[in-house]
Amino acid sequence: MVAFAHAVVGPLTHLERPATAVDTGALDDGDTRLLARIARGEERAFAELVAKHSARLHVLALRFTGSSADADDVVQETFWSVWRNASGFQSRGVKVSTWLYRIALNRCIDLDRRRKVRRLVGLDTVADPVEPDPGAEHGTAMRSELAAVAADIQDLPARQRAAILLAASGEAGTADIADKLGISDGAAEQLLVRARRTLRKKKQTREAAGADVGTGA
Amino acid sequence: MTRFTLSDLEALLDRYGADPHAWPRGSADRVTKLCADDAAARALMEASRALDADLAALTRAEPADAALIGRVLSSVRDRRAAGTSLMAFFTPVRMAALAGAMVGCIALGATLGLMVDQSSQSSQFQGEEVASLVLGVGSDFTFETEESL
Repeated sequence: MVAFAHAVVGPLTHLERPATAVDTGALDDGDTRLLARIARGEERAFAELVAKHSARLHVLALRFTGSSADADDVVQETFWSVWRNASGFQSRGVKVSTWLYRIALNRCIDLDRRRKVRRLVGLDTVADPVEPDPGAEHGTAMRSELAAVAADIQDLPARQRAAILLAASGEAGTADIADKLGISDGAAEQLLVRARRTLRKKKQTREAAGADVGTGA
Repeated sequence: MTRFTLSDLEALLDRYGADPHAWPRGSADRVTKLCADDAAARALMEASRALDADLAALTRAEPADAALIGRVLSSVRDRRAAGTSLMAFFTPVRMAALAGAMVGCIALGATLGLMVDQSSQSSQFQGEEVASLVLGVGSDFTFETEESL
């Protein structure tokens, strides 16, 4: 994968960034070492970081924005930001992956805000399409339900959406979500509670309606 | 021990989801007991589990996608190239020329401003004075109008 990435980028070149040391801090994980190499202009290290994190960031952005094209933009913007600011990364107990998610989520939230403004001033009259077929590997009924839940997620306020998607990805506890969103633990918990409650109630309403149809009520 | 109710279960599920491993210690037994006695609690538990499963399915990342990686790396390469060509435009010589031109414009503006200010103190015809300075014509120059023709 990295060889492929290298082929796409082309020959290694040292770039127009002053060579500086990344503060590896207390978290000397593989990502931090990669970031230190990126700060020195090593494209191979950059390709490794992209290969390691792009899929997760893409699925998060896809579920946040509901659009594959927007998700692509978010991921590209995120890694462009990483490339430019790698030398300025100060660990301070924050993992590189947390930094990446924070950048990506901020991009998602900015995108959401811009969309709302465009709709408000009438430049964007059509609602953005929700990704048409989430979970293509599942059966029809399951796909339909997943599409409905994906649409429900789209209806959540931006921060609730970000929090529930991070929680759903399975790797983030409340403290980690708070870190990634740059908010307090309590605030993250509140976002999760509201998001889960809204999604569950909508799901229950749908199921009740489905049961009524099934029984001919 | 206080009684564990349906609303307690709802609060627990909203806060931690349906995975008992994420719950505070001791909660699982109380949930099990409540669900054994209460059909509504079982339905709530089932809805919460189903939601968690949907969310997990929606956020499951596929293995690293070569096309996506290619797009990201190409995008960064293009942006760098654009930045590099912009940087190439601003050579030291061009920057010095731009700075010189700016200083010249500011000096010309300041000089004109001073001259107009001084001449306006001795003449009521400021417009003509400015015209004479800028256009280089004599102060006795008059614009031809339809009346004068």
